[in-house]
Amino acid sequence: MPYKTMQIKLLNPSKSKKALLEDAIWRYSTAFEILLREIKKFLTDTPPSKTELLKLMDKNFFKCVSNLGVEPFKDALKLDLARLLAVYFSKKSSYPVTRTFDEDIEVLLKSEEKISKLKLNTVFEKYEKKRPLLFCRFDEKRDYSIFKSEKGTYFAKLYLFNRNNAQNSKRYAVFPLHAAEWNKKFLSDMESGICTPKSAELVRKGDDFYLNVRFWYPAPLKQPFSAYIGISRGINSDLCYAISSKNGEIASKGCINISSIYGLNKLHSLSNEIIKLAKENNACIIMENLSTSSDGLKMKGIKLPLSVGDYNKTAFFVSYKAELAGLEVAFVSANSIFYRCTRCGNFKRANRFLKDKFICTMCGHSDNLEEIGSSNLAKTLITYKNNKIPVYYKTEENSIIFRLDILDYEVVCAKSLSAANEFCERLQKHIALNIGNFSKHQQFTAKKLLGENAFSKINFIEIK
Amino acid sequence: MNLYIETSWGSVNKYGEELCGDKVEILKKDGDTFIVLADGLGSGVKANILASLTSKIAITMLSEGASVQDVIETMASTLPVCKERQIAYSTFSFIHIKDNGETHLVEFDNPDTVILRDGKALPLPREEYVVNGKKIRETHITLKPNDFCITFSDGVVHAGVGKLLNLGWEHKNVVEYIEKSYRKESTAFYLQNLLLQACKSLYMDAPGDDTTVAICKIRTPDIAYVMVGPPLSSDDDERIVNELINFNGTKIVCGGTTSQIVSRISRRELQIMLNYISPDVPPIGRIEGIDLVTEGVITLGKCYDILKRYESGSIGRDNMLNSKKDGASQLAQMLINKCTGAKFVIGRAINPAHQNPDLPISLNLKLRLVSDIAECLKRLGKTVEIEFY
Ligand SMILES: [Zn+2]
Repeated sequence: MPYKTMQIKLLNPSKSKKALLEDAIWRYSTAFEILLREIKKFLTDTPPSKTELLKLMDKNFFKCVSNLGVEPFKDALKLDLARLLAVYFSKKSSYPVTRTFDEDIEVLLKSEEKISKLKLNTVFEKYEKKRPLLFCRFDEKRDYSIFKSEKGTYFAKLYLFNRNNAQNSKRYAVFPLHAAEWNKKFLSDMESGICTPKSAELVRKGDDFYLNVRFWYPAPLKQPFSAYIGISRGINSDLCYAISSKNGEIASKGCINISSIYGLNKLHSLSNEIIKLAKENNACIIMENLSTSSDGLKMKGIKLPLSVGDYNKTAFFVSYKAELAGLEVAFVSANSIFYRCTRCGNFKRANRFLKDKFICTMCGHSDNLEEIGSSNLAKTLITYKNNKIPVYYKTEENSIIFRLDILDYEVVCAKSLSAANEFCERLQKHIALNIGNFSKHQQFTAKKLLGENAFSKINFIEIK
Repeated sequence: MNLYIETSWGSVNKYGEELCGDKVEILKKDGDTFIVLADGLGSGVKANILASLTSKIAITMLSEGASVQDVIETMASTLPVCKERQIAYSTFSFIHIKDNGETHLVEFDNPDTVILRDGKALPLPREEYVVNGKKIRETHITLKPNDFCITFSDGVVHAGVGKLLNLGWEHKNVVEYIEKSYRKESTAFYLQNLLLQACKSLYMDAPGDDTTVAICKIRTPDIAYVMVGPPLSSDDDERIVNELINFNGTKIVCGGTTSQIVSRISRRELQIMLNYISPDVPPIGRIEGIDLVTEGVITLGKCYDILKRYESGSIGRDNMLNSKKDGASQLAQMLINKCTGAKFVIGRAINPAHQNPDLPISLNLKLRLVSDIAECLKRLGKTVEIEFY
């Protein structure tokens, strides 16, 4: 799900208001570190589940921070802790420290043991360090919310106090916001319901305070695509593309080159070009999965413009940009894409000719090697769809046993020339009766076998 | 042993030209096979006339035993002269293969002929001399079964110039491609067509020159014994089945009843194969020691359709032939790809299954089909024999 974060400045808070904000952040940060240390006592080597963690953080758990007035941040603290612990458990590094106090320094100074440099650094670096104050939900009655006055000014309503330290008997304070042009885009999306505000963080930068608000944009409904666009690495170009119609005809081919910029910016530009092409052609994007397969494009004496790592990064950018654009992306095996003939399907290393040319040794089809890869990618899913379904059969003395593994279906037919016909008829009846019980994967196969041409979709394989 | 020389040739014209400036003549005479590939200077009508005359003169004279010198002199005095350049010119390659494999190769300015043995090009002992100021190269070599003799015009070597390949294909790359695409079981037509398709593709379907390939494949004769239908008198059953079983070549049985007779007499089980199901061709059977067992009339009819399409087709006809695996396709593939000839043994008994009035299939039709298939195979260069029982 695509999230976007907006940073908005609090408009010149007065001195007293700044003090309130500063105090709230201090209380939150202090409580967070105390709780982090407290929960460590209950943790074992195995990562706790979400429910176990929530059970640990019950009413009693918060007693140790009761003097800090963090009641309004309780849910946020829980969420924040859970997130940090999840990272800790996934990385298995040393237990996190977010902040150190006077006592820590005292302990350190009094210690007789030799202190490691790392420990020293941690203690001093994290001394009185502030953590962004998390508001875990947008709500007018608690946590935080944003609203617009009649005059068109935006305000943030932040719940910062408990009953005891309430200001003018209110547990919240209101702060005017400085809405820049680009902030207004988000805020108007929010007002018109295009996006939903989720959590927010209050941070201090220098003398200013900011609110970082996370908005959730629902993915646009995916349009049914009408073509496929295959994107492969190139030899003379960064990337090559080929666009195929749904029945496998290559409608156009080309290259994508970004020459003036480098590094991640280049990869972003490449991914933008891909998205643009896919949009223009209403195409499903098909890219190589180079993390688990190799495209075999490398050859002694040639340097490819795009490394595997760069291609993978580009692919990553494409996948999330496609999501935002409502486009489909598929990653497929890159094996053989530069060696398989796009006309007859023949796959042989010998088809590669003169480093960057391709001539099929089965049908004579020739092309620039780099264009073969993208064309094959563009057609991959079409070939998948046309694959025949294997049905195994074994001939006995008077009967033939048929077996369709995917549907876990086995049937015995009389040994005659019409045995296969009989099998198909009985299979179709079986499917019609049981289709509701099939898994998704099975249903896909079963649907192919319904209808008149079931015969042509089966590959009968004899077993001895 | 008398070898069988399978030949095939094909051309693609220079883009936009009606006539081809290359010409191939093939002559088979008393077990000898003669081939001339001539490439006329330039393109279009004039090149076509030059090449036609050259190939005609060369094949006629050389096949009658004239010397190369005679042929060159005759050409010089016969061929029309180009007005601008004052030369009459057509390059050519001449191949003469005897049925014992002895081969005589004469090359006049054409790209080097390639002899492929076990998938590798053989270095040829070429003798060079000059006739009328023209360089002639001659080779004598004995070819073995499964050797390919491949000759082609300039258009092949230049394929792709300025398009996919800067310098064109070049002879060494053509040879490399042929070596890479070699399959022992390839037919002469297959390789010829493959090479032409590659050239066409390299020229991006707009050839810059007339492009021609001629290929011979040396083969050990492989005759198919095709038993069609039960003999009129069941007394003949055993003799014919034994003849089939002991036949030195490819063994094929067509017909449901016929296959049961073969199974019964040879005491070998008849199995029904469902691997290759086709909606319009009945399944095939399997009897140990028999290369192919099919149903009769429907399969023969479909097989004839395939043979006709193969004979009239050019590009893609191999794909058409080899794409399916039903009984009719397998029969056609065996007759075309595997066998150098066929002996049809036709039983004249009426199949009781066909006496059903709803099935108006008569014995007549079966005989017609077999003779149509036989004629077609003859036109494809196969030897054919038909016997009735
Ligand atoms: Zn191919």
